[in-house]
Amino acid sequence: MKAAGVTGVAGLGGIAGCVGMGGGGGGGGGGGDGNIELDYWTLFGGGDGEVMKSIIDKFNDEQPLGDNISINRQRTPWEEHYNRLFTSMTGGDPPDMAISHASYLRRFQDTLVDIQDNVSSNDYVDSILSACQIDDGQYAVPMDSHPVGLYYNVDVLNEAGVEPPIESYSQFEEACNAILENTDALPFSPDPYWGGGGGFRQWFMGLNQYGGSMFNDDLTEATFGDEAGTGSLEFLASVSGERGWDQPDISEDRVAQSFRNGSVAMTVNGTWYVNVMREQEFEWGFDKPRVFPEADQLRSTADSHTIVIPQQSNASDERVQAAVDAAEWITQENPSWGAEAGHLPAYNPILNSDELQNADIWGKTLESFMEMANDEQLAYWPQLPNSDLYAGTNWTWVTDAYSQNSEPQAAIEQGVETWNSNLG
Amino acid sequence: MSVTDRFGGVVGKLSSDSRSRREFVEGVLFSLPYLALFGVFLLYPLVMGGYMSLFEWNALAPAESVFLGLENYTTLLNDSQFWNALGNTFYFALLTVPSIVVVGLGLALGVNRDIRGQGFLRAIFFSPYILTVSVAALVWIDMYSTQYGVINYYLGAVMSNPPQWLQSRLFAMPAIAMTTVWWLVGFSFVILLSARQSVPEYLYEAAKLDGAGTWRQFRDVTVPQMRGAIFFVIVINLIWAFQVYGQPYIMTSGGPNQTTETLVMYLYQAAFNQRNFGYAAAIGYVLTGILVAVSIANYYFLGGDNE
Repeated sequence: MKAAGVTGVAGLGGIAGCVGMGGGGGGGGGGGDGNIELDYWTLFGGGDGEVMKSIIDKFNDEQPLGDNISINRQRTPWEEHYNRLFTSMTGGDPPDMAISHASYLRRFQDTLVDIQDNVSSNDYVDSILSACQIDDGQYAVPMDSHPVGLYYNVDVLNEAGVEPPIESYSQFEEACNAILENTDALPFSPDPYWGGGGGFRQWFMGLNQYGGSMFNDDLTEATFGDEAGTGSLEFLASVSGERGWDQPDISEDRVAQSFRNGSVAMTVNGTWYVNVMREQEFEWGFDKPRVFPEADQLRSTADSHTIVIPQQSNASDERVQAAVDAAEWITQENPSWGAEAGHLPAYNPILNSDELQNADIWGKTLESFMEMANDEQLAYWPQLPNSDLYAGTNWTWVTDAYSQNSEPQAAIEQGVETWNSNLG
Repeated sequence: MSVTDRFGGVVGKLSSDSRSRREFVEGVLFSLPYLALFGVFLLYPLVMGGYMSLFEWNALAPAESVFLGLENYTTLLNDSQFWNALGNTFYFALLTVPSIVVVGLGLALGVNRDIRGQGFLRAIFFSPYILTVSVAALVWIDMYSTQYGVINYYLGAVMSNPPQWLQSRLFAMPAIAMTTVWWLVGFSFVILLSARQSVPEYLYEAAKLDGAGTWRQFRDVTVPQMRGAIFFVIVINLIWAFQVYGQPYIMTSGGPNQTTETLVMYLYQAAFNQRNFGYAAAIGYVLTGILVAVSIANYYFLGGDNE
């Protein structure tokens, strides 16, 4: 049955002559000689990629599951990860373990092993664990949560006469206006990564701060064409428009570079940004993202990294169990995923450990993220069965509004049409 | 008819039949590797794609696919995103194909002259073609950058507000087309240069004796003699233009306002974003039909041979 799936996908590529996907992964039984090498696909680059590499190196050095089990880590670029994973699944040759965002679990549910009977512990943050549990099964081992927050250049703020922290929208607005008036820097760009389809995390954050929702409960219709969705986009567009806090320029890495060299003072980004911040010469600060005016509530866009076990037609029970055990070891025995990579660990004993809470990063970012998690201020993406949530082509309407190519209302209408087409 | 003649004739005929049979078998055997690859990678996917386009295709469980007949095709007719992508693709082809042919021909005729460094120029003009689409696109993203791009750096000296090339509804597609011309013109240049070098010099000498100037020589000797190569270059570039995917995907993601979303981007989106593989296959078949129609039209209007 799965072989036919391969031909199906190949057939599609043959027509267009353009779709060429690499597949290929691990597979096999338990290993004739008793050795099991688990193929593990990750999507982490940069700082958290280095931390994940060190975790797997440690696994292979210490061999915590016995000297016959090792992990072969393969990093795929983020933008190719899910399509490669899907293609490998249709071909029946996926890796033994793979990183998946929680928001993608329903999309891959039919191709994943239900590991409910294989896991040894469920002592994870409830909201993250429940995202891994779909239709009475568990399809992933939770790893972390990675919300977004407000990062700023303290040196520029001080030059403008602003003293952090920034604990309300009015303080944020005053800071922006002071920076605009007293420095050469631009006060604020909502996202360091623009390009076609940037800014969507920040828009989703605004949508939730204004009490809106993206889809209806049965995920068949986009519901953000209301005041909340429009209000969120109107504010973002005003940042590069009438407020003059940023330029309406969505060049791919303009803000990333400008924030690093001090010509943009504040931006909103995820937990992973600490790895970039550590390398900067300026003093940096962080606060909860109170950047939307007259918001009903504080919310931050969040998703979770999880480890999934794709179905393999020829994988033995022993191999599947080894993969689950390895995934649990990665998530339960490595505080460095929080302390160094900057993500909020999902495993409660690590989250509450002295090792994490004494780390430099705790007071800088993680404590605020944890408070938001405890206060239920994290807005998780809906788990869509059939759409690629993060595909840039789904979000060009946000950049169209930010670059002043579209009025926010027209952009929202375009967004609703795009997502209804995806859901349909 | 003598026996010998008849016998000899029969023997001769048998010998000829046997030879042609052997040649046929040898021919088939020699062709088998290609035929196998053709069958597996072209013919089978083509047939399979047509089959898929009649279903709501389930890639993970094909047996559970739902037969729709021609519904995917009729849906296309009312799909505004499809028509937008189709229009964008035609616009891209209109911008790139004539430019590549004209620039390629200009370079070929220029390099064909007796000048120093001809080999070096050939290598320089051909070199962008060996880059992958990602590299070509990333190079031009940097060139178009509003922050540090060389184009706006110089334009900034003569105008106060240079365009945001990849973010402007007006300039995004021409900017992508410019990248494509730079990237692909080397291939057409080499084909056209080779064709120009095959034109016998005596034709130009005869034309000169008849009093033809440079333009008349170009119009009445060069172009007719290179017609086959020009036809090939137009058709191959049209096919590439209609299959454009990588440049807009990397440079604009189809924006702004979906003005650079092409047909193959939409196909890819339908397949891998929405997992609507049957619909994507239908888009692929429509694209194939357009390419066949355009190629046939070219053949009739431009002539496919060089006689």
